[in-house]
Amino acid sequence: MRVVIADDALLFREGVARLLAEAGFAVVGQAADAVSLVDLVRAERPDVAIVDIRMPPTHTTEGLDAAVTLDTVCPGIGVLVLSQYVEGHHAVRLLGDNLPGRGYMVKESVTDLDRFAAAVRTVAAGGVVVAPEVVDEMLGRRRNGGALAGLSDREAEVLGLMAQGRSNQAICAELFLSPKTVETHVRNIFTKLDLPAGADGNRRVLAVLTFLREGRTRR
Amino acid sequence: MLHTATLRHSRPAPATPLLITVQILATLFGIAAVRYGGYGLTWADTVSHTVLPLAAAWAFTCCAIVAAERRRPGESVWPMLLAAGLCMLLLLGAVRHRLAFQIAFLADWLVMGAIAHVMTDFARGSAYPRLRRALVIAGYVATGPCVVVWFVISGGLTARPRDLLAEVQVGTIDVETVDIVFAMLPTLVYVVALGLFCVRWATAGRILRRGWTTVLLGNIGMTGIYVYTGLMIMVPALRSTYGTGIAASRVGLAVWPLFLLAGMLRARAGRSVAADLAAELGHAPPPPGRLQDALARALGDPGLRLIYHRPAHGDYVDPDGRPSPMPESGPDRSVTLLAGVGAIIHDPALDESPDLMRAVAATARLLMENERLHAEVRAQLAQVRASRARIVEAGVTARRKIERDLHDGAQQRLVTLALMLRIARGQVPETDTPLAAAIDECALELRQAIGELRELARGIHPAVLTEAGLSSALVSLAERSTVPAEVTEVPQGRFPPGVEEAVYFVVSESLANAAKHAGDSARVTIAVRARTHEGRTTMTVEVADDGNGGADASRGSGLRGLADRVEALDGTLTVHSPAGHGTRVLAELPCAS
Repeated sequence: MRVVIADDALLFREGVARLLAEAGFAVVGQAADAVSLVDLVRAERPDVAIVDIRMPPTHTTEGLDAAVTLDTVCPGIGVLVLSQYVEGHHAVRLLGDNLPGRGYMVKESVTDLDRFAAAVRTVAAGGVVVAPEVVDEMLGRRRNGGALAGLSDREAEVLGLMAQGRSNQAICAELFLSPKTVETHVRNIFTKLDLPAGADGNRRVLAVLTFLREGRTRR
Repeated sequence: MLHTATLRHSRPAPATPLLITVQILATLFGIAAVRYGGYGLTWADTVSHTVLPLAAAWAFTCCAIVAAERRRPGESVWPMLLAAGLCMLLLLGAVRHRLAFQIAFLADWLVMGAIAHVMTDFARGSAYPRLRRALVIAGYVATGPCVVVWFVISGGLTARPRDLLAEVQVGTIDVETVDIVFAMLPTLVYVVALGLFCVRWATAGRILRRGWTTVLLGNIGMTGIYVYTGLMIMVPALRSTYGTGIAASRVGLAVWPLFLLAGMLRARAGRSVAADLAAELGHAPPPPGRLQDALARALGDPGLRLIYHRPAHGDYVDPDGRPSPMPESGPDRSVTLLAGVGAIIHDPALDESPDLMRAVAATARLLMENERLHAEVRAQLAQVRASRARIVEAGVTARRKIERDLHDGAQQRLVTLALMLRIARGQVPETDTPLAAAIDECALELRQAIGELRELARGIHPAVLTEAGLSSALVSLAERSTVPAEVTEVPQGRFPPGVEEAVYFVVSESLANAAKHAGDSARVTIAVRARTHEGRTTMTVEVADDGNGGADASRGSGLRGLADRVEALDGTLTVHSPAGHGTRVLAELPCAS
């Protein structure tokens, strides 16, 4: 799997590259800013771009903008945005364009190589990954009613793990549940969130999006 | 000046009771003298005989009391008026006793001198001071020493006392040249005094005229009577009406003081201009220019202008703040300087009443000083507000910078460190379990440090506020809140950074407060509204919970600090927290654009 990395901190970039190489990814290029990242992606057409949210020139949210730009340069590319912040609104913005294969993770989570590698693979496959730190906050929103309030605690837990990019299988392992039980929970979630029937992968993304948007679009 | 006048109003002149007592005693004595002094009059005759001189005496005394009490006009003439009143009573004593007759005769004439003095002095002013003084002296000389001389020459010292009040029949008077000369002298003084009064009346302003017109009419009448009686003495053909002339002069003496009194009271009303002005403008700082209009209206001088001194600039400006040179006093404009604050430029006619101008100037000076102080306070307040706003702004900027520095500096380094540690961990041989465990412990500690640093940075300044605005930041706050919280209303769009931050911290602090005190089952609603009224946007923040209530803004430093933060932006913070009925924190913040 071909990966590019964009971060203005050389040490961090090199470190991530090394870890990814260790995990069996092919790091085909590195960029220090958003502009050279776009050039790099155009040239290398990687499967996934791992992007720091804050890069030159403005050091604000270049990573989020790049996620949109990169899709026009290289359709279908997965973008995993790394951030120093735990900000739900970043995740909402990143996923709001409804592009497949997007992820938002806090930077230090790269040190958990298994999870990190899993996240890279999930976005490469068009899935959605949201940092568990953000998911925890989002779950707090269930208190205020809305679609999420209809979920049982267990369903909410399952949805949270879905948002973190876990497969049903991974959720089974995490929650010590049988695959059948998890499938039931997932189906219930889809129903309760009133998601249209369709491919399971797409519905998962929509469920996570609903999860993220809930409370933000409401006034 | 104003104070003195006010004090004088509030208490009667100390001489008033004494004056009235003396007057009553003299009246009783006069009536008794007429009744029992040897004229052989009945009571009815006594009354008809004494009614005019008594009326005149009391009229003069009233004028004296009013003049003495009210100070102006005629403050200096009240002794003359009083003397005239007593002289009139003395006439009653012109009984068969020779000395009494002689005194009464002289007093009868001296009244004319006193009247001439009052006429000359009533419309005081700076005009013709020498002429006026000469006239007063001439009046007294003509009615005093001259009459004595005349009296002696014409053998009055040896003449039999006669009733001065009885009508004098033609023929009983023997007119000689010397009589004509002496009788005409006071008349001449009257004519000149009347002329002077007319000139001064004609040049006076509306306000002054108000009192003067009445007096002028009285003066014309009085002078007319004296001229007429003078002519009667001179012109033999007219002597047959001499009795009528004398009677007219007796009536005139009783009526003239009434004109004077009316004039004084009317002029008094004019003099309350200063008091009215103070009452009209004193209770509130008038907007610029209103004082000038009020003064112009009060003084009946539409051309009146105010000039303000600006000590800081050392120049003068008009009420609109335009530079205005200090004009010189001239024939058409007069300048009354108000020490330290400026000047009134007005109709020179107002100089005719220096006391009035002094009172108005004192009032105006106070009001202008007041205006100036208000303007200074406003300017200082504006400065304080501006600097406070700058401090708030600088605080926001500094906190944003610290927050960014923490993320880009320390946190970035720690994250890189965690990464390097992870790489190092990968190189640890599987056999070296203790080292692997130590590194894992380090990594865990490091992740916690990163998490804490992230929270610290967010507490200093939330990045979401800068990046995504209030709406996202408040939703994020509500999500993190340990007590269930919901944002029910929040305006989209961006607002000044200081305001956004203040709103954020009001909500954040209120949520922290609710978490501590509201109780377990409490829920919080957060509503932020932006209202624009007349181009000014005001942000209202309301954080309400349904918890225990009883929060005291004066105790908890959190709410106090919040109030300071809000007030620094010219806002207000109120906390309603009745025990058992939840807490409602309400902040209003003006958005300076």
